[in-house]
Amino acid sequence: MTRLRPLDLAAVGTLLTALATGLVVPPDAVQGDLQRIMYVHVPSAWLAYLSFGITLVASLTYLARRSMRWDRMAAASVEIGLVFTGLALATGMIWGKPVWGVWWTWDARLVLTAVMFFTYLGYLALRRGIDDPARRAGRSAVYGAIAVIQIPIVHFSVVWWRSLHQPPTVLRPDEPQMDAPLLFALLMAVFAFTVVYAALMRRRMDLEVLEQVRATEIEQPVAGAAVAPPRLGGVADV
Amino acid sequence: MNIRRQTAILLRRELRSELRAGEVSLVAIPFGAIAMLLVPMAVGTDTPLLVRIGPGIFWSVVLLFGVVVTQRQTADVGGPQLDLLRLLGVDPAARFAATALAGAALLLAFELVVGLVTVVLYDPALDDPIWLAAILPAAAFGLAVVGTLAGNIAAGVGTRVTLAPLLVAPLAIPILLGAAQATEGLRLGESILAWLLLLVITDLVLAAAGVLTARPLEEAAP
Amino acid sequence: MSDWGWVTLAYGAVYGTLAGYAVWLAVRRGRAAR
Repeated sequence: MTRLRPLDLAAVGTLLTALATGLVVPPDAVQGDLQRIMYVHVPSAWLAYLSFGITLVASLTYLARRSMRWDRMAAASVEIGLVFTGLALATGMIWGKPVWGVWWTWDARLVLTAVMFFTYLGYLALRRGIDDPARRAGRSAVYGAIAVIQIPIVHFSVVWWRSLHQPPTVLRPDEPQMDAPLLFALLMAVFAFTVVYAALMRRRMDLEVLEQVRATEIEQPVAGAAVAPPRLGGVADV
Repeated sequence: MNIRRQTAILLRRELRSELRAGEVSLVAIPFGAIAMLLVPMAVGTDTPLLVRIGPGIFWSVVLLFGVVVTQRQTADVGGPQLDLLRLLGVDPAARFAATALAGAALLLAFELVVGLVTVVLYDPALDDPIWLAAILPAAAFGLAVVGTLAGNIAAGVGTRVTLAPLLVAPLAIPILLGAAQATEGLRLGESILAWLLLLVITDLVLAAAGVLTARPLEEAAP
Repeated sequence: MSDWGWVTLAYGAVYGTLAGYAVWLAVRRGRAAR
């Protein structure tokens, strides 16, 4: 049974507090109880973007320093980021269906979140395909670097594209003018999810070390196995 | 021998290999053409509908199946050939540029043939089709660069040919948007310079990314 | 579905997934440490 670290306990504690707060605060004047979905949607989206940013920073730092710790950070952040991005999309759709009547609108932010989801998937698929840790680290880092360079253009092009077609009034899920208790619930949730991210990152990075050690133990033949003792006379058989 | 000359020699070699292998001309291009034939079987052959969506379907096919062109076998230099090029001191950036430019030429051919099929089957009505002479090459170049990059990142991975399109798709969105929206502008008679500018900027950024990451990729890849 | 139904769905999905992922990490850790 693994030892529970303070960070793990903090994550669980803040998460439960956020859950309670989200359920206890009064409903929104306009959206009613559906507003509570924002207390899981907004933090998920925030973490999706944060994870992405960390992945990109870790990738670039790996390319500069070539230290495996940064590769582990990138790998962990991709996996956790994928979870949060999926949750952001799912909760966005769960909120959208009763409010807008449709599961999906071609809102720029939704589209970009979906693009981010697939970028994460591609990154994970790439890592899965390479066994050698050094090669895997290098290739993923280059992909991360290219994403850093290209994603802003992707972002701009999608926003511009939708601005040409977007109807003028779109109900924004996280309106700036929120009553104080609702805003508190939202910020509490964002804080809790960030602590959860940190705890998951720590665990995932440790796991990466263990899994890499295990991988090297299993397959590699020992170097000395290739050397056979010399034979005197007779037919050589290896 | 400077980089330009290395690139030119490698480019010629690659195009010659590809023409001999016929992967693009005999397989990828027909695949793109039949895709254009398949879509109306799914969405209906209503003429106004096809006139409206024809260009969009064309660009989707170019993006999705054009990536196959960038993952052609002759683009995958590996093993002893690669070792030899390295020993000879060929700059990784030159190798990248040659593969990307070859890919661009092949993609342009892909676009032209599939484009012809699109005009026949979908009868799109475009004002000033002369602008296509700018849009098609710009899109081909951008796709070739990002496709070659993805191919190099995934080099040696068993699932390279299926992985590369997944890696390309998100990064190629500005190319798709630029080309498709510009073509849509031609259909509606609107100004398209802004979308063309997006295409050109995307191309330049991707080309720079490709050249800058050529050496780090080299170091990461036995 | 009522508003609270949608809220329950969203909360269940999120907290359930986070808990599930944490458990999965623990399972993988157990396998790797053996």
